[in-house]
Order: sequence, then structure tokens, then C-alpha cells
Amino acid sequence: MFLWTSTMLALAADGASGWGDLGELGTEAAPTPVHESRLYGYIDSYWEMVAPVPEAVEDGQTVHGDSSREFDIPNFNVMLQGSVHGRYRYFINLAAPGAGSATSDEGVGVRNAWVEVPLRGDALAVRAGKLYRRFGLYNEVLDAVPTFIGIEPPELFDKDHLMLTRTTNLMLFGSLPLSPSTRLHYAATTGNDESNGRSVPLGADAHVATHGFKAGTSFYWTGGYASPSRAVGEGSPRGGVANWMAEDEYVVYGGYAEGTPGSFTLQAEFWRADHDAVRDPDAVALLDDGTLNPRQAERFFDAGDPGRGPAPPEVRYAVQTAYVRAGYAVDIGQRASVTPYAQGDWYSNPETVANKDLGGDAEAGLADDGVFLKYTAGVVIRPVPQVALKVDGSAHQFLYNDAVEVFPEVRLSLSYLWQLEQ
Amino acid sequence: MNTSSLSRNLGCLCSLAVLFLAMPARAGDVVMVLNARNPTQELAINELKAIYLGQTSFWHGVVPMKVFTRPAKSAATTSFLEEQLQISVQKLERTWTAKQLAGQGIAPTELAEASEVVAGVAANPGAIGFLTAEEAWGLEPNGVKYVQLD
Repeated sequence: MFLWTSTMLALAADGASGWGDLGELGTEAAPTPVHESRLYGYIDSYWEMVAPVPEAVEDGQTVHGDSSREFDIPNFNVMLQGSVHGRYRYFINLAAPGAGSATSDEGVGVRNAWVEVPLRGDALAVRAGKLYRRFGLYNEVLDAVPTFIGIEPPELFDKDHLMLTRTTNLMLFGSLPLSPSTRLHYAATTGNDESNGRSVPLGADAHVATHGFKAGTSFYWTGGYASPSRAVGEGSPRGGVANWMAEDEYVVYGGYAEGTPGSFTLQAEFWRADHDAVRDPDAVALLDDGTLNPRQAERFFDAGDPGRGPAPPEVRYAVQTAYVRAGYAVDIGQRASVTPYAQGDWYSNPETVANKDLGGDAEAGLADDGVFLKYTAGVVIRPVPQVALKVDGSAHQFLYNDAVEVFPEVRLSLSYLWQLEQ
Repeated sequence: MNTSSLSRNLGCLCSLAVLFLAMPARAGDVVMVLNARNPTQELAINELKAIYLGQTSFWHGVVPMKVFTRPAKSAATTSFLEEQLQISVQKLERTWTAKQLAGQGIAPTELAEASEVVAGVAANPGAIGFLTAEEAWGLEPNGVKYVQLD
């Protein structure tokens, strides 16, 4: 491997010899502009209606709540990307999630702010700051909502039940040609993540891309014990450690593939997170809010009875998810396109509860066994490439009160990309 | 015009002449425009796809690329993107929109006029653009060279 890599780098360097004195390239009479930058972003206006969801069991019968509707602006992003001498790149991505709410809108947050230095052309670069880790097909592109098929992210990166943090702080990455039409892409990451200050998290990704086909694998290890990002009562965790843990060491691994033959897009991923954790008894006591199902009560409390105190704190469990997505883009004229799509998601998490405020998940947490399936069908209509209307319907299927429950959702998303004229 | 730039331009004119004499011009013929300092002699379709889809961003691992496109409805775009690379304008735009939103690069700069392509490529050692054969024939290739598609 080392010999092969050295050979490829040597070939790249040989090819550079015809440029003459490379040191002059930035100082000639007609040089590359020193600064090149673009300011752009998008607004994603969203409406959702959810059918009645099971809420409780009374006298052995399932009781459903009311259907709900919601307007939101789940994505409002302002981005600045640029380079110095075409070589040293930077990226700023500011977002205001939930900006559509009149009562619970959040402030503008920094999703990304990084600088990048090429160390060896395409073969090796370093990116530092706050950045999305390279992991699977979607983590780096989840803020590119108008461009991908579907409205909801894959369950791996659903903000209600993240399997790991989306951002980290340092990434070494690059790509090398394996043949004229095939490239190997690789990345290694580390950062603060959910570290308790002593552990050093590590992430890695490698994939091969050729002729519109991509296949790869990603890996993540907390590097020792990690700490919860949020306490019980503060909402969904920002990473893979549940809010009621004292500490948790976990690894995430899996694989992904994407094919884009012609106008088709086909995607599939599978991920598994193995947790070796210790619960915090005081935090576990707060989970007794009256919504735990019998399996969850048994899991968190001695003999399933909160009055007898928490169950033994050491716990090992696995979170798993997989999905397949398919879309077909029909280009209309030279600007418009229509892309029907279908998706199937599966998610399993035994260590969660239904109450999102506690740090749970209103999907897997509702299920008797922590497992749900989600079927989605929709269409993306782009009258021009900068405008995307998505109409999307999905159904969650899971076990509740020993019976199969299915509740549908309908969503509309209208997103506008904007960019300052160059 | 100094001696070195004169000889460089003469070289470019000669290469253009040889290019057109060797290959009868057809309606869909396209030439790639590279900076005169770029030592690249040939460009395969696969390499051009990688460049225009942002899968590679350095020449020979050292000089950053600067990519120019043409308006969606231009003859150059139809000939180059759709006929040679077999990439639709929509697919190119979707690819670059996703890349920009992910911080993975800045979309190619669109230049309407052939003269702007020549001037833009001449001004940047790592630049690449494309012209129809008819456009190239009518322009003095100052600071650039034309490369035939492989």
C-alpha cells in the first residue's frame, strides 16, 4: 500500500514538471485572483401533518392522540465559501433551525466554520475548525436539502436519534486515482465530539467511486468513555450518548453504496453502533414520567418497578439502522426536472424512551421493542434548478401494545437557493 | 508584446492550425482551452468528466483548477457537456449545487462570450474552458492553448 501510494504521488509530482517554476504561478502579471468567494444559502419552508399517534394504553386498549399540523422553516442557511489563491479554502455555514416558530425559534448557530490546506494536491489535505465528518453518503450533504431526494434525513442522522455527532474538528482527507475512471477517497477525523476530556475520538471513511457508482465504509470510535451532550430534560442528544448515561464507549460501523446510472439514483446504507455504557442512577430516575412501556420499565428499573430503584447501571446494547432510496430524474427542457422517489428505512434502538424532552425518540421510543419501519414516497419538482418543491408521504410501522400500528405523515417542502451575483 | 509571449502565441496559432487541418470541423466540434503554461497535451473524456463534476481539483497534484462553463443554451454547452461528456445541464447544476451547499467546492464560473473564456483562461494558470471550433477559429489564442478531445 505504501509503495503504491508513493508511486502515485511520485507520478503526480512528475506531471508537474512541465509547469516551469511553480513558485511564479501566484506572482505573474496575470495571477489567480487572491480572493475568490461566494455568498449563498437557502430557505426551506415546510408543512407537515401527522395522523393520530398512539399515546397510552388504558384498560388494555390503545389510546391515540390528535392529529397534528406544523409549519416550520427547518433549514435556513447562510453560507460563505471561498479560497485564497485558489488553494487555501474556507467555509462558513450558519443555520437557524426551527426559524419558522413564533415561540420556540432558536438563535443562529454555527454549523461549520473551517479552513482547509492542501498538503499534496488531491491526494492529501487537512481541514480544521468545526466541520461535518465524512461518514456514509449523507452526513456532509445533509445541509444540501434542496438537492437530495427526500425531505427527511436517513435515520442515522435524524436529529431525534443521532448515532454519533455530525461535526468534529480535524479531518485529513484526499483521493487517489486507481485508474483513469476510478478514484479511491479516504478520510480520518478527530475532535472534541462527546469526549470526556481524556478520550480521543477517531473516525474514518473510505470509498471507491467509478462510473457513477460509489461504495464504501465508515467507522467511528469514541476512543474511550464519552459523556452525554445533554442532560435528561434538555431534549434529544447531539450525539450517540443517551442523556441518562454517566459514560459510554461506543463504535459505529457499516457500509454504503450509491449508483447513479443515467437518470437513476439508487442508495443503500447499513449502520450499527455497539455501546458499552454505564447509566447514571439519578438521571435514570427522571425517566419515570408515566410513559414507559413494560419493556422499558424492565430495562431501566429493578424488576420493572421505579419504586425499587434503577436496574444495574452497566449496559451493553446495539443501535442499528438501514435504508434504501431510489429516485429517477426526468429532465424537462434545459432547466426543469421532476424526480419521483421512494425510500424504506429501518431503525432499532432498545435503549430509548418515547419522551423527546427527556432525550428520547418519539419513533423508536414508542415501539414495544424499539424498532420501526418507515416507508416514504414523494416527488421533487424543480421548475428551475434553484427551486425545489418536495411533496412527500410516509408511514411509520411499529409494534405498540402488542399490535401493529401504522401512522401516516404528509409533508411539503419548498426551498429556494439564493446566491449573490458574482 | 515581448519575444517570449510572441513565440508562445505563434505556437498556439500553429497548434490551432494543425488541430483544424488534421480534423475536419463538424458542427459539434469542441476544443478545450488551457492556460499556455499548462503542460497537459491530451484530455480524455473521463478526465474532463472528473474535472467538470468536481471530482479532481488540482492539475498534476500541484496547481489548483479553475473551471469555466458556458450558458446552458449555448452551442458550446450542447456540444461539450451533452454530446461529448453526456452530462445534462441539470445534472451538472445539481452536482455543483450539492457540492457548494456541502462546502466541497465552488461551482464553475459561467462565461457567455468566447473571448471571455480565452481571457479568463489566460489569466489563470490552472484554468480550463471550452469553445466550439467556430468560436476558437475566430479568436487569437493569447496566453492559452487549445487541446483536442481525446
